[in-house]
Amino acid sequence: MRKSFLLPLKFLVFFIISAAVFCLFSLIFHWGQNFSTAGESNRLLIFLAPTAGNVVLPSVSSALLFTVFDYRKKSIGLVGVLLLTVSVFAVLFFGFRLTASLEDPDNSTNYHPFENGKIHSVNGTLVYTETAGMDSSGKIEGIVIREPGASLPGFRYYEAGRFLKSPEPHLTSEGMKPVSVIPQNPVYNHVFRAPDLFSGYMGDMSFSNLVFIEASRESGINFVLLTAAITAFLMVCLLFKGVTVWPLFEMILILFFHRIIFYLIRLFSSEADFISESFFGGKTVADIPFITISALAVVLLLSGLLLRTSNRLRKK
Amino acid sequence: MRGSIPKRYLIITFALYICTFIFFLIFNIIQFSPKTVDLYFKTAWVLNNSLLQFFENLIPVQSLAVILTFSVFYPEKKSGFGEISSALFTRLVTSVIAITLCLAALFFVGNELFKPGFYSRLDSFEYQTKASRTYLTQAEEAAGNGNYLESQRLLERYLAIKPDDPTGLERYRNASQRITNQGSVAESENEAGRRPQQASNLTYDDALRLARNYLEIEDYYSAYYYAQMAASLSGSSEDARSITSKAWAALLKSEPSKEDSQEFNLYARKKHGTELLLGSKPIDAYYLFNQLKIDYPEDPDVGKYLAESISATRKLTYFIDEAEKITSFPGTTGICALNINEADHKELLFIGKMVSLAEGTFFQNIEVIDFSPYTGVNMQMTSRFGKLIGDHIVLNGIDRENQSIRIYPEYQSSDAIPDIYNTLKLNVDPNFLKGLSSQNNFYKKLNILELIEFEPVMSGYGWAAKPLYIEIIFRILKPFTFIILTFLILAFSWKYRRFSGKLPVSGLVLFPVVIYITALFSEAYGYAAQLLCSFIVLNYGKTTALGLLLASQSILLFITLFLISSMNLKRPGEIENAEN
Repeated sequence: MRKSFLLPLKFLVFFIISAAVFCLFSLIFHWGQNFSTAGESNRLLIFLAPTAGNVVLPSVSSALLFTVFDYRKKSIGLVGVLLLTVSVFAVLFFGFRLTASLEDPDNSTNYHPFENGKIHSVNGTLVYTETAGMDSSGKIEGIVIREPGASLPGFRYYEAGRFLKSPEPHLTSEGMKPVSVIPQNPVYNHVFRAPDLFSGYMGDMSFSNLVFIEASRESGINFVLLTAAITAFLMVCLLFKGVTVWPLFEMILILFFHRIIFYLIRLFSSEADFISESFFGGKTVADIPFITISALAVVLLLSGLLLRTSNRLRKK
Repeated sequence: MRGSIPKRYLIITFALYICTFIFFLIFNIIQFSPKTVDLYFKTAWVLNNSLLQFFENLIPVQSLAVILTFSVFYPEKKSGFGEISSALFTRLVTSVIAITLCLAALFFVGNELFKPGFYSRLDSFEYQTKASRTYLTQAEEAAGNGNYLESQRLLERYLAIKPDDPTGLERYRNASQRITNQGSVAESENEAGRRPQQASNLTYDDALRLARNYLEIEDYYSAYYYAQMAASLSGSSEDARSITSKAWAALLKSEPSKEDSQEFNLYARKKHGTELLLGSKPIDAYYLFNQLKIDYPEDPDVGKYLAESISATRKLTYFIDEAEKITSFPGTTGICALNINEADHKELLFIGKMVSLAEGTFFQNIEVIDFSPYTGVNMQMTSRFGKLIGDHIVLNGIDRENQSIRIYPEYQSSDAIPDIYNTLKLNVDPNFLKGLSSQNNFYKKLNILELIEFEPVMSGYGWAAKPLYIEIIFRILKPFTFIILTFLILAFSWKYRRFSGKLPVSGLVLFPVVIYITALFSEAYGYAAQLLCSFIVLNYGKTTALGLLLASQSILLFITLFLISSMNLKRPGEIENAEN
């Protein structure tokens, strides 16, 4: 019984550690998108707002796994399960509420994509800038541009131009075709670019986090239902612990389920119109993530129970 | 599976390596698309791409090998983990650590030796596909318009890329046949001109020796020529002057009479040619001897001095057809650098493509803009081709046959043409040019030694050096990532190894899931290391960063070795029971 009460505590400790680790790397990632050697470097914590929301789900997912697989007994009692479920729900609920209230730092970041007296390759366009545009107007002096594939002569000189952040980051000058600066850090972008497989995971995770953050900002019961659904899903995945003779495989399988749900949330949300029209008679997009999570949770619940039952019968 | 842990580890590792390579081989064969790479290069492309993907995915493959060895195929009760003492278990694991360290070393060496070559070759296949298709299309168009000479020329370039392509060979034969039938003057094979010539860098002693030898065999013309050369090299030399006089006297005696006009004509023209050659006018001498070769193909002197004039000409200019050859070859593209980098005077140099051939290093689509950041453009110049001679890029080219066909650089403003307008002083060390490409990911085509060589000079040539330094750190970090991840997964795999009994069928069916999650985890770890490394380098500078990173990797290594050393023979559940 005592160990059952330790479970949620363990979960919280693991959550805090996981969140700290994910937060650190997420902060570095966002910091890197705005890094330049021109001007003062941004402090890491400025990027807490866009970062914090992104770490809730992966931290809960990994903390739950560590908690359960570190548990020495073969199965967790009902009390333990209930306490753990409540903990997961509470962390998700308050985690997203808190992170949703943080303000975006866009205006306060110090961001200069160009460097003094350096050549930059921006999507194939060569851009030389004598100055980096440090003042508030974003004025840059001594610009030479060469577009990709330009025939001779390709260099164009402009005495001055401006780097503007909106509507999208771009370099402009009189008589010059605006040069889009996306990705927004041409010098260091490739250094912070994620590998292919992992970038897919990051994209799906970011989307899913955004769904929860937007739901948490709305009034109404949507956010509660969504949080309850993802909690149920995460807990149902744990049914697969102990169903095989290979614990590592079970851990990998559960991780795979966690991976799949974020992929499916993004996939079905992007096809929301088609799904709404075809299957739900025009219901709104906001319902799609909830339906996706709930449906997969039910499937896993049935599969998990089936596996456990068949294991028990085989042992008898 | 029988055998000790180290043996199993090696067998499983190499089996996985082979399976991985075969998988990529089959995958690339299936997904090969002739749209971007011609079928002619398919085998080479599949092989290179498979090897590249193999090296890129070696870390997750190694992780999988560890999982299989320590979590699935570890020795069971009969051979007895339960019967193995802790000391023996530790020794076995130590062997595994030693093997992993060796594999990490091979991984690092393989990455630096082979991967850059794979990237370069894959790029070259795409380039050569585009180039060959363009040449073939243009050759067909030219043949369709009745211009068989142009068609033949384009097909020669096509065949330079695909020498044994039957379509190209057949069309070349057809074009040649048409040219013969039409009685067109085919491009005469100037043997001396086509064969690559070595520059004659004779010393005074060499020239004098040759002059004496030719005097002895009564080749007075050659004796005169080399004696004159020796005299110009030495400043004043009695021996050279003596041979010159003797040879000249002998030549005067044998000078044909003006009545024998053809022989006299040859003699006069040869004499004029050698005077041009000795008078530092090799280009004029070349055209003269080139024409003489056509008129008097049997004369040995003409062939000899034609070769000399070509060699001397190549020191001042380039032949247009040699430069045009580079369009058939891949090379370093999009080179951009600050050729002059002073506070109020900058010169940006752009080179569309650089290719090194036997005849020298050639450039295509050269552009220079000379400007002051505060007052504007001083000069802007373009040139279709150029050749590297010493520390200059020679911008004017000559046609092999036609004296009136030249390539000159074009200046956008006539006011700003410099005095020496046919060459460009290259202030960038030519050896560093290939490191100044603006291509995406061109770092991947350079090995770590080249990156280390380029890093200190990048900033001076206009590029930010820190990204290159970070790339160097990544490369150094990779074998540490290999080792630390392997050890981490070893500890995890052992802790959560399978119980005795049959493997679940779902484990076999869902093995791709194991592969996917292992790969995802490996990439996540590698990316985390990359982020941390970049942050430290950009915030704390090079020296501090290197120290911090080595320290961090040492700490992580220590932690993983600690985890391994605390690996128990018994499971957590068995320990608890034993405690109770």
